[in-house]
Amino acid sequence: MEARALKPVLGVYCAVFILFLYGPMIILAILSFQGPGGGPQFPIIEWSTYWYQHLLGMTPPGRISRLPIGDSFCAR
Amino acid sequence: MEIVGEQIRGAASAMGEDNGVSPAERRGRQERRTALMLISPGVLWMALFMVLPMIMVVYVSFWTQTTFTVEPKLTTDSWVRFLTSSTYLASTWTTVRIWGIVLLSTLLIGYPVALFIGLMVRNQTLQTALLVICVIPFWTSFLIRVIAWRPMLGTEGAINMILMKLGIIDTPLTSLLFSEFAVLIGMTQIYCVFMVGPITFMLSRIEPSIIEAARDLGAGFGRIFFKIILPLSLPGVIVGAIFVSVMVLGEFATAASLSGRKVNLLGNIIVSQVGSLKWAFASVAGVILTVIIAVVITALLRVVNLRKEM
Repeated sequence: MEARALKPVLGVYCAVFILFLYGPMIILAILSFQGPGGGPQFPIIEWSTYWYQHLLGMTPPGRISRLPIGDSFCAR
Repeated sequence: MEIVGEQIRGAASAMGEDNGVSPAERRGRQERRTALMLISPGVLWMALFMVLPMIMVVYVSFWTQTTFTVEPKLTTDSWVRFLTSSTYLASTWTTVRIWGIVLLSTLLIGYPVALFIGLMVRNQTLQTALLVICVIPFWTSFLIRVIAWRPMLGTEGAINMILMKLGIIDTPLTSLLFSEFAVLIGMTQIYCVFMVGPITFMLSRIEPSIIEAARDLGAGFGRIFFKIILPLSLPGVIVGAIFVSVMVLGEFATAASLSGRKVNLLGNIIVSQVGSLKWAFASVAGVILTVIIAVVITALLRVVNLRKEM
């Protein structure tokens, strides 16, 4: 019967469709582990959790806007 | 009957308001008052926040536009400028063309998925689970979903990397990102679910015994599909098409982000004209876009009588 063969084919198609829906987000998740020198592209230069630390403010501040925030609170 | 009713009504009006009215008439009047009260918030809301702004947009489209100001002096300058410029007419055509392609691709890609979830999966829990899985990518911001296609399609993106690793191509494809193709792929991914949902809903309501009966009478799958499944799922297709059409025709973010400003839709023109304070011209584009959407929805509603089918 045609319909019986159709079910697994449509099942596989449905899985591919779900992969299509999730693809970009999966790629973003992978690229979020890019090292500090890399950008949002492949290849991954070095695996790290640098950007997660950056989000939580645990990385050293950048060269450009190095404001002495800590000092400004202490010095009178 | 009619004469008696007339007499009663006449007598009632003669006798005064309350004591002479028949109970049926009083109930009818009460029901009419309730209906009026129920409908008035909606009518008021639509009048204030939809009809009035729309009239205002049409009105402003005839205002006189100078470099930095817009004056309520009526003129057709903005309309003439829009309708005689090949740039704006081309972008109108691009909008319609991209809408057509995206509508077709969401339907062709989404329908088999809906067929599987709605018809082949008979377990209700699994059905719901599959639909939720389809919706989960929407739990993030719209812009993130659009921009997520950049590392996917870029020259150093995932697709190019995979194709090069597999040895299918030697040099990365540069036409994937910042092209019309990227816009079409992005829009198809974002709006496909709005097509899958309504179709799945309609398909899951088909009585299995109907298909069984057709099979018992010797119909093949093709015949069952075109004679039973497709007509019964058509209201879902139309609802999905309306969702996709309204969203794609008003779209500007995907085109701006994934085409590298090469694809200019009417939405992009409105954004850039408003940005440069050209209110009258933006209104012209807005009116034209509204007319296009109205025509599309009217045409779609002509295909099936949704009120009867749903």
